[in-house]
Amino acid sequence: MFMQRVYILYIVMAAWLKGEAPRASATRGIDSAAKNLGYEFLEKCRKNGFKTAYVERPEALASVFSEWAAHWSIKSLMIAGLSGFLKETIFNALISVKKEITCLELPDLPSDLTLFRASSLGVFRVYAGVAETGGLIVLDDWGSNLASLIPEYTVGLLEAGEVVSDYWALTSVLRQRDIGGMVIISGPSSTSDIELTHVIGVHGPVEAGVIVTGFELDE
Amino acid sequence: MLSMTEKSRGAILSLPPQYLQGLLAARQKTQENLATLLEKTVDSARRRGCQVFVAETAEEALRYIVELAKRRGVKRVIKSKSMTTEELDLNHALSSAGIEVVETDLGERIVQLAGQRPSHIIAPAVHLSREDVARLVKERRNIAVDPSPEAITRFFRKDLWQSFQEADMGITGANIVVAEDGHVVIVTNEGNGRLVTTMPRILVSVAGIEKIVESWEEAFHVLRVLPASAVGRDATSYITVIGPRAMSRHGQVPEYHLVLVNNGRLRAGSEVWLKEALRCIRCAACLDICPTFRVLGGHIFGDIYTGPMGVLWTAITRDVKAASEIAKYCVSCSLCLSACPVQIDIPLAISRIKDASGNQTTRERMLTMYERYAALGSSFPRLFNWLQGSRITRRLLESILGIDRRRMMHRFKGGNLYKALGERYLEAQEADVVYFPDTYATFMDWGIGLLAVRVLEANGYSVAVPKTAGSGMPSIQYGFHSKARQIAEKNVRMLKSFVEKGSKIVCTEPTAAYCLSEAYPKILGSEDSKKVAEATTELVALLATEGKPAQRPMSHSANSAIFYHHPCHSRLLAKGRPSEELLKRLGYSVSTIDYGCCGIAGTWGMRVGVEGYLISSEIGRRVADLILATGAKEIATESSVCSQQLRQFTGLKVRHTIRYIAEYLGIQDRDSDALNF
Repeated sequence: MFMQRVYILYIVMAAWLKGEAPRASATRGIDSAAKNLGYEFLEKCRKNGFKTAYVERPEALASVFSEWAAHWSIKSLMIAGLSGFLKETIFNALISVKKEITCLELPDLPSDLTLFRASSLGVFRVYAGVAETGGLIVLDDWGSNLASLIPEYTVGLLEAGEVVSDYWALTSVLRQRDIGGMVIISGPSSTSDIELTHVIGVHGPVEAGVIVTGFELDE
Repeated sequence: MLSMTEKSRGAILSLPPQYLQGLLAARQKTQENLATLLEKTVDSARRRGCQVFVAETAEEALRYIVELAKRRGVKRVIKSKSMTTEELDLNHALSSAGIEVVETDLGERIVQLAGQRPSHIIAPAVHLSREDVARLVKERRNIAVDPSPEAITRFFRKDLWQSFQEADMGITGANIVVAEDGHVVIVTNEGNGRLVTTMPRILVSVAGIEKIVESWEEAFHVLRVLPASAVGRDATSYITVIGPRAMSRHGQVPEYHLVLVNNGRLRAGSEVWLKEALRCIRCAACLDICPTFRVLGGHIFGDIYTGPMGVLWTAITRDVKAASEIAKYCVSCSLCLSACPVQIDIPLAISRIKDASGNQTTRERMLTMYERYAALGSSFPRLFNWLQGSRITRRLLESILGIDRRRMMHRFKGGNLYKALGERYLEAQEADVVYFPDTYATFMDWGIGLLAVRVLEANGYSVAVPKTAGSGMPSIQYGFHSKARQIAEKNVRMLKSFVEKGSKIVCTEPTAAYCLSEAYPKILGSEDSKKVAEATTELVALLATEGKPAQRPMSHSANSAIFYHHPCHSRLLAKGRPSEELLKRLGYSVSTIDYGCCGIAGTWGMRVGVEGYLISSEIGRRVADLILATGAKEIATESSVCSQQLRQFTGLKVRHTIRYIAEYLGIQDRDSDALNF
C-alpha cells in the first residue's frame, strides 16, 4: 500500500515536472468521419478476436480497464508510450480491482521478463489502426513492441483520428520515417497446427484488447 | 483440408479484384527482373546499415551463418518457421557445429521433436494426431500432457519461454523482402516470430531472392492476398517488419544480418517453363486443393517442398530428376492452377519436368495411344466390349498395359461420329460453330456428338465438324511434349481457318476445351493457337450464355434430384458453374458440393498401383459418400472419365449435361441413346 502511494506520487510529480497536467475532460472533439472509421476499425478488430471499446471521454477510460481487468488474473503491469495521465488512470483502475500490482515502464527492462509473462497486462500506445483488416500498427519507438508481446493480456490505445483505411495509407509513413521495425497486430496469438484446430494463445498474448478514444491521448 | 480450401476461396473471392491484379503484376515483375531487384535490395539494405550476404549456393549460406554463430559465441539459436532454412538444412549444419537449435513455431517444434520433416508448408505437423503429439511430449520431454490442442499449446508456451529468453541468436525466414529499403516482412500467427526477432542479441533473416518485391505498394498486395489464400483471413495475427534497427528487448540495436539465397533461383528465371514458379507466395492453396496430396500428404508427395508447388521448387533448388520422383503424383487435374492467386501454370510446368526427366515408363507411353485404342474399339465394338468385360483379358490388360482390372471401362458403340454425321458436316468450310468432339464422342459413344450437333442446330447455329485429332491430354499429362506439340499443331491447323472466319469452337469434353484454350497456346506459343484459344468454349457454357432454347414443356415426366459434378478442367474455363445454372434455369432440381476432384484424372486413375487406381479409388469413395448423402438419384456432368469414376463408386446413373438439354428441347434420337453416360 505504501509503495503504491509512492508510485502514484512519482507519476504525478513526473507529470508535473514535464509540464503535463492530469486531464479532466476532452480538449478537442473528433470529427464524425474519423469516428465512423474508428467504429469500422473496432468492428473488424472484434471479428479478429480483440476485446474492443470506444471511449468518448477520458473519465470513461478507467471503467473499461476495471471491467476487463475483473476477468483477467493480473499481478503485473507493463506500460509503454503512454502519457502520465493515462498511466495514472490505468494504474488506479487496476488497483481498484486487484490489490497488488508490480509495474514496469518501458524501455526500462529487467533481465528476466518472466514476471511480466503470466498474469500480466501490457498497455501500449498504438501508432495507427488499419480499418480494412483490423490491424494495430506498433512502431519501435516506445517499447510498445514488448508491451504488446510479452504479457498474457494486452491492450492497445489509439485515437479515432489515427485510424487509416488500408495498408497503402501507411506508405508515406514508411518512407518518411526511418523505421527500424514495425508490427501490425491483427489478433491475439493463435495456431491451427494440431489437427487444424484453432487455438488462441500460443507464444504471444492470450487475450488482446483495443481501445479507440474520442479524445487526444498524448496531451 | 477441404475446409481450408473453402475458407481460402471465400476469402479470395471477397477481395477487391485490384488486389489480385496488383499482386500478379508485382510477382510478374519479380519473375522478370530478379537479378536487378536483388542488386537494388542489397544496395538499399546496406545503405540503411544492414549486413547483407548474397549466397549463390546452399553451402555458401550455411558457411556464413555457422561461422557468424561461432564468431559470436552463439550457444543456442531460436528459429521461426522458414522453408528456406529447411531447403538449406540449416538446423543440421548448426547442430553439427555444436550449436543448439530450437524451432519455435508450434508445428515445426513438434516435427523437430519427432525427428521428422514438415509435411505441409503452412501446417508442418498436420500429419500427426493430438494423441501422437501428447505421446511425443511424454517421450521426449517426460511430461504428461492432456491430448487436446489447447493443453498441448499451453505446454509449449511454457516450455519454449526459457529458450526465448536465453537464446543468443534468432533466425527467421521472410515472406517478403522490400527492395526499396531492404526491410524483411514475416507473416505469423503464434507470436514466436516476434519473440525470435526481439529477444536475442543477434538476428539473422534468411530469404530466398524470389521473395523480393520492388516497393511497399507491392508488398501490401502480397500482405492482403497471402493470408486470404493461405488461411482464409484478412490478416494473420502478426505482420513483423524487420530492418537494420529491429526492435530489441535490450533497448539497443541487435546485430542484424540479411542472407539472400540464390540456390537455383536466378537460373530458374531464365527457364521459360520454370520461371513462373518464382511468383509463388507460399500460400499452400495448391496443396490444400490437390486431390492426391490430400490422400498422400507431404511425406510421400513432397521433398523439402511439398505438393504441387513442391515439384517445381524441387526442380529449382535440387534438380529435375529429384522433382520427377514426386511429379508422378500429379494427375494434371489443374485444380492447383485454379486455386493459385498468382496463376502459376503448375500442371504444365510439372508436365515439362516429366518431359525433361525422361523418366516416363513404357506403360505411360502406351497410355498416350488411348485414341488409337478407341479407334480400334469403335471398329470392333463387340470384341472390345467382350475383352473389357472378361476377367482373363482384364488380367492381361493389367499386366501388359497396367490398366487396373477393377476399373470400370466405357463400352464401345461401334462406328464413329464422322460416319454418323455424314460428309456435310465433315466438309463444311464455314459455320457459326465448330464442334470439337475429342476421343470419347468420336469413337466410344458418338451419340453424345450427335446430340451436341442437334442441340446446337435447335439453337439456331450452323455447325461444322472437321476431322480433328484427340486433344492430346495423355501426352501432356505424362510429359511427352513433342507428341503433345504435334497433336496441338495438327488441331490448330485444322481449326484456324474457321476461327479466322469468325466461328466459335465448342467442346462437350471439358478436357478438350482446356487443351485448346489453355494448354495449346502455352505449348505452341503461336498467334494461331492464341486465336483458337480465344474462340473456344464448352458447349454447355455457350448455351448458358447465348442459347435460345425453344420454349417447349419438358418432355420427361420424372424430375429426379440431380447432382451436378463440376469437372476440374471446367473450373479454368468459365466463372461459376454455368452448367448447373443452366439446368436450374431449365427447371431441373440440382444440387452440388465443391469437393474438388473426383479422383480419376483421365487415364491416370485407370493405372494399376498407388500412382493410379489405389489413390483414385480412395478419392472416388470419399466423393461418392458425399454425393450419396445428398439423396441425389442421378448425376450430371460433362466429363466422360469423371462419369466412369462416379458411376463406379456411387452406383448412380450418370448422364452428360447435353442429354438434359436435349430432353428439354424434345430432341429424341435412338442413335443418341446413352451407352455409358
